[in-house]
Amino acid sequence: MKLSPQRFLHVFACVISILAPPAFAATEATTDPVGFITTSVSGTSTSSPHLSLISPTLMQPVAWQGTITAINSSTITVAGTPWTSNQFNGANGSYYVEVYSATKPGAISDISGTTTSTLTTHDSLSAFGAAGDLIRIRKHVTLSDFLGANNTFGLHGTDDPATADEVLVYSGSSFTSYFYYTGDPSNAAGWYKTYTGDPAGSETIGPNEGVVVKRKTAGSVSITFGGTVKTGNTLIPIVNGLNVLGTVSAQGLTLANSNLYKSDNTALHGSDDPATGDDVTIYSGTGKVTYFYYTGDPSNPAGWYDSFNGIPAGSVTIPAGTAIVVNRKGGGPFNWSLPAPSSF
Amino acid sequence: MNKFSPLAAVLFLASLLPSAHATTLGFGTLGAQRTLVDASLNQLAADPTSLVLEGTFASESFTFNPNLSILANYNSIVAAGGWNQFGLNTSTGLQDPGVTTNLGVNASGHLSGSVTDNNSGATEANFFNNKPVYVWVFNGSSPSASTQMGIFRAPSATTPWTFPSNGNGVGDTATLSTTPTNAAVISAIGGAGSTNSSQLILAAVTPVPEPSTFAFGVLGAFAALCSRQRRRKS
Repeated sequence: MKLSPQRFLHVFACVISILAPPAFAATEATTDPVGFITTSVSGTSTSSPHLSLISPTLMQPVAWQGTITAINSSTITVAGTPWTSNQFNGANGSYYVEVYSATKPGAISDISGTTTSTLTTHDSLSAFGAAGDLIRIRKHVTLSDFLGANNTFGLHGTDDPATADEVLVYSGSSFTSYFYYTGDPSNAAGWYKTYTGDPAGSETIGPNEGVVVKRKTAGSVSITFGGTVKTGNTLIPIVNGLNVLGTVSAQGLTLANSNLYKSDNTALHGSDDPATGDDVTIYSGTGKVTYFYYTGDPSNPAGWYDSFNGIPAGSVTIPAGTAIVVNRKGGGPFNWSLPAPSSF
Repeated sequence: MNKFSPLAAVLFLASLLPSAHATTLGFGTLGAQRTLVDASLNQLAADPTSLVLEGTFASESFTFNPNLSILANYNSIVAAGGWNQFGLNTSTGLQDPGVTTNLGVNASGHLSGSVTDNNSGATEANFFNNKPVYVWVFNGSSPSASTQMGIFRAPSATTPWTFPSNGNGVGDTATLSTTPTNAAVISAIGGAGSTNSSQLILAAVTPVPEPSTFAFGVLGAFAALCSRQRRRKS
């Protein structure tokens, strides 16, 4: 696999209010920076597809933000009547809400219902916020947003899903496969689910979800995605087993500053043996490398190391625009507090 | 579908996703895929009426017998060919935990859907690593409910009909095709069905009547003949 190191994050010091549609003109102002990230996906052949792990990383602009007046189980209430019925669900598209404060990382859940002053969420966020804390509402990034409704960046689309480049959107270890169909008299060209043939341009890519591009043809493809930088820490759920995770850090991360390991044992499990420690696999242009957190010995301090050759790896980067594979070998699920970018 | 679930949902997901490794094998449905038809060339009914299995044979030394029931053929071919069905434990024959499948026939009569096995053991997904893929199709929801079946394989397809190797759990997938451009030749194995450039055709059974049934039939015909001659004489 060749995942180009040339990923560019271009940040324009614009305010979202400039980009926001008129419908949201009355929302509270936000100042999150915007920009774009370019990621390269390299080619190969049908018989030996190449994998590239990518993610949008950037967000859609904030559609609304404000203060919570009440939160319980799956309902969040705000003051006044700032919304219209079903403004953030149903025919208007898929939205999610982030609950956060100056001291609490952002916890995110899909919105399944909207009244003039309340949101119904897929999950209970009451453990992550309280009255007085803040919420931000954003629309999900869709497959068409990310890759272009008409396959803007030229992934290999065909009239046969067996030969087309596949786009696997992972949620934890399960995935849905998509491809770009060139169309026929009964089905317009566009993104479709590989195994069912259902139209898929509006399928969403959650902030935590990793995208695996399985390229089956020669030549590299550059994918550029523009959006808003996610500020504040973000909780990313990690479960036992395989996790293919998108990274919402527009700055990129290093293993050492990623918060994937924490000395209070609230994150990945470190070990004196790479066979038993949780590990993180990062794909690059030449393949993939697996890392684990070593608990240390008299000759080697505790820290991140290459699992197979013992080279210190704390400074290894998780570039913006990529996805990573976390293998949680036991110990139960936890929420990874992905740190906010400090600069762009 | 929820795309992002913090802690509460994490606890739920943890019970469903215990494994780090998974193999997925599926069929694309769009494009000029061959249509599954019965022996009378009528398109097969969509799920859940028609059963589709994917797996592998150790040997192709078996022959479809149209004089036996489909169930009898199934049992005979499983034994003679050394059939192993993807998603089942090859030792116990039971479905592996966490297997997901929506493999079947869609409304267009195409193979559709996929099977995912999250278990990496030697008698689970790993058993199938790089083995040839065979597709076994029935016109009923089970062998015992079927009157027709077909076994198909495309050894020379551009996208090989082989199971992906269960390596690291990411991207261990294969999407197969039945289009004539990708799979120019699809063979019906052991005489179970036939193919052409646009169809995969099942084979029907015409079971020989049981001896007692046959005897009753002869007696009935004889009685009818006698009755007819008696009417003529009178």
